[in-house]
Parts: sequence; structure tokens; C-alpha cells
Amino acid sequence: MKLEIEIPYDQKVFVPGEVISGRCVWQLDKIPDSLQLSLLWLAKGRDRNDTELVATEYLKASASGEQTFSFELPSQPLSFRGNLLRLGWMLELVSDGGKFCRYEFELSATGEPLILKKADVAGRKKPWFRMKSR
Amino acid sequence: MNFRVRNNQKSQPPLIVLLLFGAVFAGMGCLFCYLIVSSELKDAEIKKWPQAQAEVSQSQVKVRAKQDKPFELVVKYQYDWDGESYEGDNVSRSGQKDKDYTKLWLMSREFPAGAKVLAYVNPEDPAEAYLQSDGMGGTLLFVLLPLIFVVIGVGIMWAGISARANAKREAAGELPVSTQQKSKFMNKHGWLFGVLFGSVFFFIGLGVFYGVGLKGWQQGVAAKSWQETPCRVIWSKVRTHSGDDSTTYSVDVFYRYQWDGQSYRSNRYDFSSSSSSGYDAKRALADRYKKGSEHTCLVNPAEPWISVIDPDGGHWFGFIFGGIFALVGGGVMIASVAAKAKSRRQNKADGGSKAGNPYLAKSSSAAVSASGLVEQQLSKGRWGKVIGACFLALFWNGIVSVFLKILYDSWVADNLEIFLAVFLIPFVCVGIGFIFAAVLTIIELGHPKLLVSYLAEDLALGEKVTIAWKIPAGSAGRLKRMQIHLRGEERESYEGGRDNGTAVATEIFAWLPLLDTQREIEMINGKATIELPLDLMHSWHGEEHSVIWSIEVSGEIGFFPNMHDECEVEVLAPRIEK
Repeated sequence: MKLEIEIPYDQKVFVPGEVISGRCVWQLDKIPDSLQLSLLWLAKGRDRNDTELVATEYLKASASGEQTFSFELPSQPLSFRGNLLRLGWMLELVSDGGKFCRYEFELSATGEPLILKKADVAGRKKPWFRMKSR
Repeated sequence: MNFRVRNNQKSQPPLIVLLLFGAVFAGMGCLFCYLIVSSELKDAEIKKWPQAQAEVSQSQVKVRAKQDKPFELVVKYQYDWDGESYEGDNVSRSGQKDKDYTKLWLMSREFPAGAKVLAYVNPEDPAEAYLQSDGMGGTLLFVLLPLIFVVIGVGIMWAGISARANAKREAAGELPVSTQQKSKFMNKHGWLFGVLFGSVFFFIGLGVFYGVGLKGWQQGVAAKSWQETPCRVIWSKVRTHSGDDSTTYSVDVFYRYQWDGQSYRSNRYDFSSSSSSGYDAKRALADRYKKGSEHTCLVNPAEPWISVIDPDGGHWFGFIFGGIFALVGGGVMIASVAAKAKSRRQNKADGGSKAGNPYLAKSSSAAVSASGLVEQQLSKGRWGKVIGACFLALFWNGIVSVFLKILYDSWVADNLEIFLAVFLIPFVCVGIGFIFAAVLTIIELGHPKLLVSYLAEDLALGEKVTIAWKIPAGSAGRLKRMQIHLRGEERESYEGGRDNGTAVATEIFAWLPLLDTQREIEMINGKATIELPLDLMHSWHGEEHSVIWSIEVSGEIGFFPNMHDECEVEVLAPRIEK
């Protein structure tokens, strides 16, 4: 069994608005009911995640084959690694029975991974009473 | 970046809490189902027993004033079985003690002394016999209510276990992210649990509203046309009902009256059979009906054994408590259905193309002009703080006051509940703290109000933005120092908090100074230009987590609490150069 997403030069960082294109290759034991390629982002905290499907392309359901694809990347959300959260982008090729493969990459305005550091807030006066908001 | 999906469930409490909660629900439901079904089966069995002719030798209602159920129906009868003579005293399986005198008196009339009746005799133990079988036939319908509890309990446990199993598979990277949302059972069917949960409250509330409130009110209206008759009080007392978490009281007046030359007794003070907190009022009522004193009761001329002293009392309890229960239950049901409908509409809307930026805040207090100039009042959150603090103070102290009233009543009744008094001390202290906080938030309403303005399109990463501010003249005088900052922070939801297992953590990643001054003229009116670096994150709002940007102002004010206001702003992602 084989499920693969191939991106030219194994590019891992893309800028907003850039087109990500490549090729899906698969070889399965039987003809799947569906075969789909999704573009999505995933934001991860310590025990909860946020995710959103940005685009999905249904591939021709056959036991084996290959197909090219291309998606125009949106302007946001940008990938980042913070002190509490991490947000990253991925392509995911999913077949029946939970079989899948992923290609993870970063969406960055500078072409470099975005790492958020703790700010120096020395001298900041915290409010004595704050309403919780989410 | 190497991602492993760990858990995409929304706001899930810890598994042990779900299992315990579900087990208690299901366990209680099973217990009640068992009791109802076993009782029904036993009654069905009695109905199959052969019957024997019995002769009633004694039939009377015995009065034991000091017992919780002060009345007992005593019926003795003789019957023959297989040539042997037996004496029985069972009427039915449900027992013969009750708080209602009239109910037992009516039963005693069905079996008068000397009457020949049929008794159900246990063929395996002929000494066991009953005159009645309690089987109502429709009792099995009552199983539906505890069954709802069973379904909810099992559902909660199943959902918890299945969520944990999914979370483990996700943690191991065994599940694809793109199909997770579609397979979440609770996301799809969680609303059904809300409807079931709400229906329990709704139907119980409806039952109390009808059975105690409406029926009591109808009986009261009918009783007003009954015949006024003198009655003499046999006893009058306040009965205490100790529950798990509180003590309630009820008035118990037992009286005698004459009708058509015959003597009757009754202990119906009003048409309510409930008890409530508040000892004083009940004590005062009981004192009005002293033993041996003469009063007036209303007697039903068609059925003179039915009488009442106060036809208007009691049923308000049913209206208020039943109504609140039904409203809360109905509200939960409607909210669950509405949430499901909203989610459907949202899914439909999401199916289309997304216009604009879907990751920005859903609401904003900003006023945006046609030229793109944004004006925001930083003090808008003050009323929210006042309302929040006042609500908290009222809610907390409202609940505590109920227990304080119980404590006060016990003190008045010379039965001070010491444990309750000690237990309440920290709760009262916290309540005083909440009142103090509410007062401070009200004082804050008088602090200077800052207005900021900027061009929305300039507030973007990689751009220069000018932020202007002003304070109404005259109000800045009390400020000794004022600071304005642009703040960026990550905000994460995670399990382990005190409220429903959800907590929020924040971490500031950007703290950009705009102003730090002690000069009044600079506080009243000014502006600052700042370039937002590209190596920061723009505003982003997910379901669980977010990146929030805010303008924060703090001001030092002598004796009063310091000024601290903030407003959320939307920092845009860098512009795409095509």
C-alpha cells in the first residue's frame, strides 16, 4: 500500500498567495470509495486543537494512480510557533479506512519560520479585576 | 514543523468526571427502574393469588402525634385457608401509615368492622394476605422518567470513552485531521443530550406546576363555595423535614368538626402537601391554631369528610418552583435545538466561499468611517465589569443568604446549627469581597475615558500605523501618569480549569509602547507612529485558541483604584504583493 504527496524540491515554506502544486501517488489493495486531498491548517495548544479545511479536491478513485494538483494559498493565518500555541499548514491525502498521508509546510510572510518570544512586560500594571473573554 | 494531532474535541471535561457523572445518572435511573418494575411485578403476582372470604373484625385510624406519619390504618380480619383459620392485618403492600388523615379514613370505610370482604392469600404462605393490590396498570409508564436518566448517563459515559479513544488515536497520529470534524459523535448528536437533560427538568417542573400549583389553585377556588363550619384544634405544630442539604418546615394542624350530627377529623390546612424553608412564618401560623382553640374550616357539603382551613395557601409554591423548573428545562431544550439549527446554518454558510477574513473577531466595538478611520472608546468595557461584578455579588450573596436565613431560623427556634454557621464563614467573607469589588467597578466608571483612532488598513504587519488618542478636557487632571501600549497575546484554552474543566492561558508576545507620560497636555491629546514588525503574528480567532491584539491604557490615580482600560484591535496579515 502506498499513499504519497510529492512537492517539487520538498519545499517547506510558502508565502501567502503562492501556489502550492505537486503530485499525489497511490497504490491501494482495492478500489477506494473515495480519495481526497485536503489543504488545511491546524493550531495546537497543550490539549486542544483548532483546525479548518481550506480546500478539498476529490481524486479519481482507483486502486492505483497519480494525479497532479495545485492550490493557491490564502493570505492567512500565518504559521507560527508561540509559547502556548503552534499553527501549521498541511496537505492531507485520505483514503478509506483511515489510511492517509500528510505533507506539512509553513505559510510565512518572510520566508522564515515565525517564532513568537515572550515580550518584556516589566513595569506593566495588571488590571485588578478582569472579565474573562474568549 | 512536525504536527501530531492530539485532541480536537471542544471543551471536553476530564474522562473520570464524565464517567462518574454518567454512572451516577445511569445508576440512579437503573435503581428507580428496578424499584418501579419490581413493585409492579410483585403486585401483579398478588393479583394472581387465590382469594378467600374474610371477615373484618377491627377497622380504625390510629393517631400517633409524635411520628412523622402520624396516622395509621389498622384493619384486622379473619379468613380460612385449607381448613385452618388465620388473622391478617395487611391492607396493601404500600403500607398503611400516612400523613393524610382523610385518605386513611376513607380506606377504613371500605373495610368496616363486620364486613365480609375478599382477601388475596399467598398459597405458599397462607399467613400472608392482602385486601388490595396496588397495581395500577399504568405504573410502568413511570419507568420512562428514570429511563431518560439511564439513557443520558450511558450516553455521557459512552461519549467520554469514545472521545478518549479517539484522542489516543489522534495523539498517536493514527487519524487524519481533515476527516475528524465529520466523525465527532457529540458534535453531531450532542444536542440530543441537551434535549433529554432539559426534558427531565421540564416534565418534573410541569408536573409540580400542574399537580401542586394549578390543581391546588382549582381546589382553592372550588373550596370557597364550601360551607363555613366551626372546628376545634386537636394539635398544631411545625413539622421539620431534614434533607441532605437543608431543613424545611410545614404546618401541621389536626382538627375536629361536626357535620349533620356526625363528627369528622381532618389535618388538611391547605391544598399543598409540600414543605419549605422559613421557620418563623410556620411557627406563627401554628401558634395561631393552639390546641383546643376554636376556628372555622370550609367543609365540602357533598363529601363532608373533606375540609380545609386556608383554601388560598400552598399552591404558590407549585407555581413558582414548578414554573422555574419547567422554564429552565424548556430553556435547555430550546437552546439545544437552537444551537443545532445554528450549527446547521453555519455549516451551510461555510460550504460557500468565504468572503473577507474569517479569522478576525466576530464582533467589534469599533466605529469605522468611510475613509477607513477607526475610532474606539477604551472605557466601553467598564459597564461590562460593573454588570459582571454586580451579578457575581448578587448571585453569590443571594445563594449564601438562603443558608443565612436557615441559620437565622434555627437560631430563632433555639436550635442554632453550629456546623452550618462555621461552614458559612468563608462563604460570607467571599461574598463581602464580591460586594467590595462591585463598589470599586462602580467607582471606575468615573475615571477618564480615552478615545483612540487609526486607519484600519495601516494596522497591518510590516506597515507604519499612526494611533491618535484624546481624553475629554478636565478629566485628565486626576491622572498622575498614563501609559498606552499595543499588546499582542496568545490565548489558549485547555483542560484543567475550575470552571467546567476549561481554563484560558495567555502569553504576551508583543508589548509596544505608544505613550508613557506624566504631563497632562500629552495625556489629553496626542499621537504616536509605530511600525509593526513582520516577525509577529496577526490577529487570529479560532474556535479554541486565538491571537489577540489590544490597545491598553493604564493610569495612576492617587487614592482610588488605578485606571485600566483596553480595547481589542484587528492587526491584519501582511499585504500580498502579487
